Amino acid sequence: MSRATDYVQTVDLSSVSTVSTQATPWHLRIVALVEDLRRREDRLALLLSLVIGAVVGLVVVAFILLTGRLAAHLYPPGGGAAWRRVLAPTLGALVTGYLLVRFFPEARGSGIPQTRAAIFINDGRISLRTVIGKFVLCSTSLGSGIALGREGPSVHIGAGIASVIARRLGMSTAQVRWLIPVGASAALAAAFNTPIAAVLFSLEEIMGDMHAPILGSVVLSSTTSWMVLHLVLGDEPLFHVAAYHLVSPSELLVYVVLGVVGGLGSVSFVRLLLWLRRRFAQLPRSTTWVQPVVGGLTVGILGYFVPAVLGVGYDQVDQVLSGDIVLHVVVLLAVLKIIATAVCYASGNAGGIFGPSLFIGSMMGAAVGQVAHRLFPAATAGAGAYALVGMGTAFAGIIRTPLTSVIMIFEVTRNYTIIVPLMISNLIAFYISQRLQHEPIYEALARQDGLHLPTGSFRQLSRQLRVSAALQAAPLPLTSGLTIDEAQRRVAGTTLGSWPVVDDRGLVGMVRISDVARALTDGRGATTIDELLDTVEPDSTDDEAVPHVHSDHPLGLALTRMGATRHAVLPVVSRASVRTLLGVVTLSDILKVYGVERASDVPTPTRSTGDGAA
Amino acid sequence: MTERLSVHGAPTPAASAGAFVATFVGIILITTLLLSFDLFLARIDRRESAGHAASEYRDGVMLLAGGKASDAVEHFAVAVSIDRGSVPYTLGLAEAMIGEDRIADAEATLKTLLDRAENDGAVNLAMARVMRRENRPSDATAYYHRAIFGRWNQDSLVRRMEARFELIDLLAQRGAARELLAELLPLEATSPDSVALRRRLGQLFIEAGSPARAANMFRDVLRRDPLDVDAYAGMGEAALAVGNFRAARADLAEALRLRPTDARIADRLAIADTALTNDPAARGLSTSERYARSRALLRRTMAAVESCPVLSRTSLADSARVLIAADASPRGFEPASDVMLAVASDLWTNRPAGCAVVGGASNDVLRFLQNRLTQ
Repeated sequence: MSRATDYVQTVDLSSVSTVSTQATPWHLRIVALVEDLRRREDRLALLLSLVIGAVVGLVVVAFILLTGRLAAHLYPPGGGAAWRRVLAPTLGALVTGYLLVRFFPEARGSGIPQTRAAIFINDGRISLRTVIGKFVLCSTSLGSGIALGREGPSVHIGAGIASVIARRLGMSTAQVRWLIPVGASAALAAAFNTPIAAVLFSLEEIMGDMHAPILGSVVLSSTTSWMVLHLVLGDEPLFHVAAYHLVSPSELLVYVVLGVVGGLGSVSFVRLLLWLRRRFAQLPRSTTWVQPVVGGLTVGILGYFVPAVLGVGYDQVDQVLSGDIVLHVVVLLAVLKIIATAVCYASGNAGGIFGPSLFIGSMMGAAVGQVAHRLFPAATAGAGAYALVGMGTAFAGIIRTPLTSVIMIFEVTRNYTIIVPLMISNLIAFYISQRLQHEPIYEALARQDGLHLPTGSFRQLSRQLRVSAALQAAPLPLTSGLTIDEAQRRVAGTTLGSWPVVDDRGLVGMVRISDVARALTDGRGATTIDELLDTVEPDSTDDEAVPHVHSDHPLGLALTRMGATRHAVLPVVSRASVRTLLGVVTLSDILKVYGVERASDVPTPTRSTGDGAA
Repeated sequence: MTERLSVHGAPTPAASAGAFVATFVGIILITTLLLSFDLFLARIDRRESAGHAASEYRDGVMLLAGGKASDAVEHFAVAVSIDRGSVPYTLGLAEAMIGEDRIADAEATLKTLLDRAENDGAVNLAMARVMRRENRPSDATAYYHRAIFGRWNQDSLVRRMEARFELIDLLAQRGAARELLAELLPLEATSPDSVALRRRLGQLFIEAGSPARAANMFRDVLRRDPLDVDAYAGMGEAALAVGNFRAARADLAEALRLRPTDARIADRLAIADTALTNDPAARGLSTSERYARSRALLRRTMAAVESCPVLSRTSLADSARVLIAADASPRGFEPASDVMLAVASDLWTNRPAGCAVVGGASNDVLRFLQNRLTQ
């Protein structure tokens, strides 16, 4: 390696990369490749998507296995004394609580809000210490029986690994930020064995933008991580689901009821968790390290009587998906899990709410399914089908990512026929949750921590701020071939800074009034205004060749183009033809939309009705 | 993606080339270590899980054998949840469900298993038992056949024979003599050389309507154990079936001598005696005796078919009534006997399938006498 480094420092690499490779020794070619990677961050980012996918996949698999082994030894299923079920989570919470406060304060909680904070606040920075802390403490915490999930922490770990690698390689801040969802996606693909849902979750929840331009990298890392998972753990799905089908169309009504139950259950869970968290936050700071013990003890006491409350609980989910648990048990488990998870999370234990959401949803679904099947045995499927849809319903209601929840359940079941009832239930749960609990859980959690991350409503608002909001009718355009003298007479008395010019084909460009005035001063009044135009190339297909915007462009883009073209007025043209003038947008109107207009600073144009823009 | 990344990216990375290469080498090393660690953990996980599943399976087997099917179901379910691909675990679960009378659940479980192991003998045998419990004999027969010709991992000969015997039991219960005989014939040649098995086969051959083969089996048993009571009783039964009442009487008397307290043998001996003293086809009978026995047989037959309204209103039944009522002259004894036996035989063979003759010693005698007439 040191020899290679010497070559990097001594060889003229630009010449190496251009000479014939036949004449170049292999080691020099490697050196050139390395240097090329260093210079081209886009290529490096693509390569890193694969590397991050593999590394994160391996780390998350280790995380899953360690947690499982630890749980099997600390509170063996079906064996061991009952007191161990109380002691293990209590001690686990005590140890991890102390370590969290003392050494790894960033490793507390789920990991999803922390990952978003890293993107939107910390320039993509997640420290190696946080990654290690999250891994060790969450393994201990979840392995000891704390009723939280492993997916949120996995996402944080994955994002952290991406951040650490990117920073170690000296990538720019922007690139580091872009690689955070790449790591998150890889982590979720491995943790939940659903690569497509992982991609969607990264875009829908982490980035908050389904059209984020990192889609390719996210897909690459997710796929790589999923392959690693299968390489190590084999083809075993997370849940084993029978092939369900809709027994009769009237069954959809039961799924509507499930949507309502799921929505209300989700809201109850979220509100309880947030309320408890506020209460814990009001306790003296000196008690922070011991607060998780409250969660550990609560889940321990519940687990003493009902062992299924302990841990992630996917075994019980698997059982209920096969319709194997009786009604009163599923109702009891749903209620106890809501309490246990809310207390564990609110008290500051390390772990997520992703898995518990699925647990709670499956139990609620099974309960609805069992009641429906008892009442209408001929018209309804078994309770397992409802448990499955219930998982998606709770996910849509609690996490508020309806698209991810549908795709996730689809990936788990690989059964298309479940999609329609799933969409109905999810949509209803999502709507109810939105109506009754305005703020999504991760946004509310971040806000409780004093973090003001971009919210869904902000993204919606920013989407609404389009050119169309500031659009005004076009003034009477100047005709190409008009002399500068005539043009001056036409625009006299108006305050528009630039004026559209048309010919018989339509819009040909914009002319600045200041340029007209300068031409007159220079004594060029007899020449035509064509000479002053920022014109469209006659045969050009490049939209950027003419200063313009479309009505659905963001206002920010209009501002950028105004700056680039030095026009305070831009023509708004049709997407079908850049020569069709629909109106104009002025700097003044844009500022008015943003609410920052100062009338004294910004001249208001005098509008004159056009006689038919081309 | 790459365009956007390049727009935002700084043109020159901050890391030196050395640090850059070192980081990649570090990543490769860490990846290798992680992979080894993961594979190690996965192996431990698989081993512990497999051990746990096997332990649960063993507990389930013990509980099922002890008649605690409900508890066994729980243990088998845990084993299956750990290793879903295991045929024995799932089969154990299904068998425990059958034991718990959860027939529908057992059927569903076995169906999923059959999707994976359609030629597995044990799975098909369990499914046959489920079908039998659901009173679906033709489906049960099909699954028994798949079990007999399916794949068995160990003791295939014994397990196949067990499956065949279960099928034979089913066919015997249904009175499907031809199918029963079809299942017994392969066993006659291939069954292990066991006295108990030969004895059982003998009984089954009688039920399948093949008394000669039954007699061969019992004879074989007696050759090895001349004091085998059941073999003597079987020989007697086979002799009754072929209408050799004298031989039947001798064999049954020997059986009763060897086991005097056996009431069933005593009953069969009484039947043999009655058949012997009422047999119209016996050799050396005087014409009057033959006439009297023929008339008595016709009367017995009429008494048996009187309960069948369909048959009792036919002209054949009317003819029988006339023959019973009429008194032939001594010269007419011979032809009258022949006519009465022919009418009795016709009545017996023409009785409708739904018109079952109820059991009892008297009807057993009638059945044996009628069999004798047809031979």
